[in-house]
Amino acid sequence: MRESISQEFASHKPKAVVLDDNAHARRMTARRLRGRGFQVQECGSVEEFQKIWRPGMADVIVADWQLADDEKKHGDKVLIDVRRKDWDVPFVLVSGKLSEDLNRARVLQALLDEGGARFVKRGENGIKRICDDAEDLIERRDSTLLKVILSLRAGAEAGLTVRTSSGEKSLVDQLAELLRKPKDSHDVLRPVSLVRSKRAKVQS
Amino acid sequence: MATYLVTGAPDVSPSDQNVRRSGRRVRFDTQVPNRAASAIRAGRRYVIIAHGDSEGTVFWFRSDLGSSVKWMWVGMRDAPRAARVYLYCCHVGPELTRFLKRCESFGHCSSVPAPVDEAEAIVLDYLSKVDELMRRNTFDAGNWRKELQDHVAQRLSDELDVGTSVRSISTWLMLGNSLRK
Repeated sequence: MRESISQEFASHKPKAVVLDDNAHARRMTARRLRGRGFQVQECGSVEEFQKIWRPGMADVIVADWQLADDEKKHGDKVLIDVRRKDWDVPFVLVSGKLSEDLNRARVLQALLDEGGARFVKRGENGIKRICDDAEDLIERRDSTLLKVILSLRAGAEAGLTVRTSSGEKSLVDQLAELLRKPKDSHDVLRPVSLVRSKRAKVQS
Repeated sequence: MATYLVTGAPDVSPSDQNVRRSGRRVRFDTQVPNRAASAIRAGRRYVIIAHGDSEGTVFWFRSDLGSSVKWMWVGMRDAPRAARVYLYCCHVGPELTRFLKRCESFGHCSSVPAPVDEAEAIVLDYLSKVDELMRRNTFDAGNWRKELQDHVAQRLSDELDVGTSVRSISTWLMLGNSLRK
């Protein structure tokens, strides 16, 4: 794993979710990601993915494009669904057939532009490229947002809540709220980023 | 010095004790009149810690009734006047401050942590900044928001660097989130 990512995650391992209905391809990808230091959760179907994924709980999602016969369950639809709930999580979409279908390629281009995702075509070095792209996307994330996510995640996993004047609020909900809209998270974290960058300048 | 009016709601207990222990003047539960206009007097300054909703309604829990009643709301006839009111209540800020035109009022747009458990020290620190603003001669909601956001940003940044506690980060983040416009 790249040093910059290791430093950011300190004692934690970055978490990847690999969604692919082809068990062989899924395991190969998962094995390579584990080899790079990721903690990997495998999902064989969209339903399984929807059960386990929550905003802020993974550092990268790797999804196959063609997941089932039902087009509603393809990887591009998963990306759209993920982006509705989490505007920031790195997403790598994988396919072996895409270049043969121009229409799909156009759809994909629009999707990637809007969805902040990468596309990897299967084939020679395909799995290596998936891992490289996953690391690229993680490296490019806003460091303040990533730090907040990593800090809250442990509490969310432990089921922690905070008492408020309108009932208990779980850290899972707090993460989801933070990642729902880019404008909201920017509004909250921009002042924090400014403080951090000022401090970094003073220290340097 | 601002007076703190604290609801008697059991789910945010012992907010009153924690705030009082920090040296602030507190009126709690049944010590606060049913009519907000009687509780909030002209020319005085108040911080209200109570339940609220996004329609701009503040609910007051009274232990003698064993339930909450609408205490301040958008459209109430007998609204407080000429006082400075800091609404430390969930969600009520945007609607209620717009309605309380005859007061100097400030509120939050989403959930705020109660000054209890691990959030106690953080909320009391935040309220120290609120007290400082409340003591000033002038009121400017935009400027207050900016100063409070900066205060939260400083503290959140410290917590992120030190990484002391998940709950601390969560609490500061919640406060920052509630100060959005």
